[in-house]
Amino acid sequence: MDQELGELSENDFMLPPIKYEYLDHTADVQLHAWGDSLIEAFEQCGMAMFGYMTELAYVEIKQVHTIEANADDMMGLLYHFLDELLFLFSAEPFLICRKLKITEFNAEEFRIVCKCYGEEFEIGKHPQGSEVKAITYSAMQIIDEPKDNKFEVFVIIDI
Amino acid sequence: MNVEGVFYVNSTLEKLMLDELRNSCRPGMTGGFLPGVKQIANVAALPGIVGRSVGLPDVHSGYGFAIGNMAAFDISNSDSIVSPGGVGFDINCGVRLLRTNLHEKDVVPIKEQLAQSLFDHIPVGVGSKGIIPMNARDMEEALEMGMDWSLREGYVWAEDKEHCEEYGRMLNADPSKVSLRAKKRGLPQLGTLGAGNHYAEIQVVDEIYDKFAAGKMGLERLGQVCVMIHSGSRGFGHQVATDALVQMEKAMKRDQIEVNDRQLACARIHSKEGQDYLKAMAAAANFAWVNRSSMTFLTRQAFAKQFKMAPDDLDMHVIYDVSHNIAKVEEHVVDGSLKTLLVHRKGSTRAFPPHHPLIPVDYQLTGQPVLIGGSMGTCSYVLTGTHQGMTETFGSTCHGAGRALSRAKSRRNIDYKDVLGKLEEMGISIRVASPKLVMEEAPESYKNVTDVVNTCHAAGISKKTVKLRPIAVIKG
Amino acid sequence: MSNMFKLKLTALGHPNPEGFNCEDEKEYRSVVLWLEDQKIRHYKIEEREGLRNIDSDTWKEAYNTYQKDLVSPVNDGTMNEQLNWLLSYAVRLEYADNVTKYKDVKAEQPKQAAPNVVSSNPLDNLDFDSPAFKAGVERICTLTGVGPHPDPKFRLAAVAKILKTSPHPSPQTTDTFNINQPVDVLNLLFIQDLRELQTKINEALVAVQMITADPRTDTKLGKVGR
Repeated sequence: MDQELGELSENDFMLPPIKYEYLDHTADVQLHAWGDSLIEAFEQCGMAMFGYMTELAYVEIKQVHTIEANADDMMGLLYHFLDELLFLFSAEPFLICRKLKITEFNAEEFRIVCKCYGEEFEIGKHPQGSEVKAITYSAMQIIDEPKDNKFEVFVIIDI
Repeated sequence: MNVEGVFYVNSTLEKLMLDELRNSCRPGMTGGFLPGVKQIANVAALPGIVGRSVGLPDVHSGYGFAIGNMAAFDISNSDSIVSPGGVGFDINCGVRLLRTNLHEKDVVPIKEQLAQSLFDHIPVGVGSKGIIPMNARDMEEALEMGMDWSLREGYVWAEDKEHCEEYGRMLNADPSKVSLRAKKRGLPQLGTLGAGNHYAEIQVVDEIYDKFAAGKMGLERLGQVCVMIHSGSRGFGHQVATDALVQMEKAMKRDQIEVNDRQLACARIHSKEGQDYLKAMAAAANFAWVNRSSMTFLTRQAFAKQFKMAPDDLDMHVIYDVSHNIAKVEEHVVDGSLKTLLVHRKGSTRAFPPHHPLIPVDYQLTGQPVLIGGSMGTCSYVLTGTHQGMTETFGSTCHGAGRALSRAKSRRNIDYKDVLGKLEEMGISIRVASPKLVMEEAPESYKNVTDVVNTCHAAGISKKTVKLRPIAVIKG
Repeated sequence: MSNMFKLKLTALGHPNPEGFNCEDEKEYRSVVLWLEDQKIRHYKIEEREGLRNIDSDTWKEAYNTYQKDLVSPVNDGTMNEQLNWLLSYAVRLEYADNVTKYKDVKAEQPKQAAPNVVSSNPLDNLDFDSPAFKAGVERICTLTGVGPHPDPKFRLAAVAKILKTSPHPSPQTTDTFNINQPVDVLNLLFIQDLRELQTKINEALVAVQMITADPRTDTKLGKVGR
């Protein structure tokens, strides 16, 4: 699954614009992400989570890993997508992502395949932000209204 | 509701609680987060609950159960449930207190070096890894043995085990009920402090309320130096809880368990899911004890190096180790008859009275020590359990300060430099991995721990023994 | 302690026994010097230089040597114990120098104000010289570890002090006292047994640890020992 640096194409280094923000919640933080499609909103939401763990400007793209998430419904899919990303960070390869690219988004079978670009987290190089302990279903919202071109997600992460 | 829901407050805390309720009822608040008051009520409606659903003074909104909620379920009732939300994600998050024979005046001149040394010894913050070498096999053994593993490997002293809830080991732990994912997340994090509200603090005895009980704990004079470690089961516990929630959602559909809030996912205690969760939770509890024990080892090393004395010459004994996120099987008197209960304590500390068989022999006369960690820069307390608490709250009391301001609000309203300046004024050294944590964890973001502790004392559910003041803080 | 200092200083004729504060380092030092200069005179005048430098950091050292030279039995005791011995020593020297003057002096007997009042305190009716009283004190002293002293009342006072200061639960005062007292005794005996058991368990654990323990830290992973 892993690719060496040499296999990254120039395109992989193009960074997407920021389309996310952090909202208030008593003990935790709420991620709010949006985009021109639900896929983009999901990608942005993943990046928002990494942005809370460190300052993304310090992260270089050196590795790419692929993750897969499956679920029974849309909320479950968002949950498991983020959970897979968190796992990528928490254990081998300890990847902190600068960029996410969803290559497969199946809204019928609720399946996502995503390429994650970044590098191994390294104390000293990457500023330590907050530790994300878990994703929650609490107050989760997925707004998918193509006719208004409105694609937004809200997720509370446990920190 | 099957039983009453109650909460303990004084007028200040009552206002905070009702504000939380009012905020959540504002029009346009569709966020779906439930205020603590409503959560206490929802818990009171769970199948098999006995006694009362109790909110402790530091109660605030949490996942499913409020943080600062105690609820007990009758094991002999086949409808009774166990709920991961009632334990919390950070399974066996808790506080450990070490004493020393040093006096404040021995430490103040080298406080900065000592704080730095502790910060260098104990891995903190996001992405930090444990420095006690572990492989997958060690991990399996540690999950099964808890502090017995630390003892066997020589990281702790025999006396440490004696002064831990459950003697630092839950016997029903079964590592085979834990997912590979949880183990993979846990392995690199064993022996790390974590981030957020977790900390290691050098504290001094500021006030002694009960000389006899304090003496039994080896706290005999003002200015005596202690070390408090507040940490839990890290990513491991979270993964165990997350995995269990998925299983329980299925079990709820199958067994037709109805609850008021989807977050209250639960399973019957006697179902496979319920038993599997309890066994995995016990493994996570063991993880947390090994974790705190590893940091105890590192703390002793840091002090030993700084003072060029062996830790036992510094009298660095564990006073006690409490768990404030856990579910335990305990015997209590309900309506005049002895019953075996599954007591969920989430953000709530066990506080057993004098002569209870489950507390260490050294505390048989005083009651169990209860360690209440303050927020950054504020005091911490040692309380003891009471007979009144045993009957009113099944031997439970508060756990800490409890959040009052949201993190984002803290960051907006509180200035980084102000907080550091204030800490310096109070003579507190600080080492922190993430600067924004300084604002999020500023004392203003929390309920006043003194209010919380005084309320518990006035209500008689625990008794004030010692007040501790921080002089150095190490945080994620 | 300070009252005893006052008495001894007065006896020795110190100019200001009332105002002496033993907690004040400077006053403490000057009293030591005064004792050597006026009473003890163990050193020749020029040898007292070390003790005379009251403000110097080396004073402590000189004081330690001084005590060693005097063969003080308490030279590793607390500061107050050390001073108390010095004072007593000075008093002994003073007495030895003037035996004839002091030997007939007797302490004044305080007159009994109201000898005929019948006391309701049962302790007042005790015969402190009776063998029964002495035997009882002997027994309680063995239990509390109080050492021998010719005056049994003195020993009883020491026992009272121990019972007042050492940690033990406050006594019950309710009507159920008569029932609770034996319960408490049984509880305490049980706790003692339990403590012995726990200590044996710990000893066993430590014995096993001698074989199994091998704590390691992987310093590569952190900054330990920097």
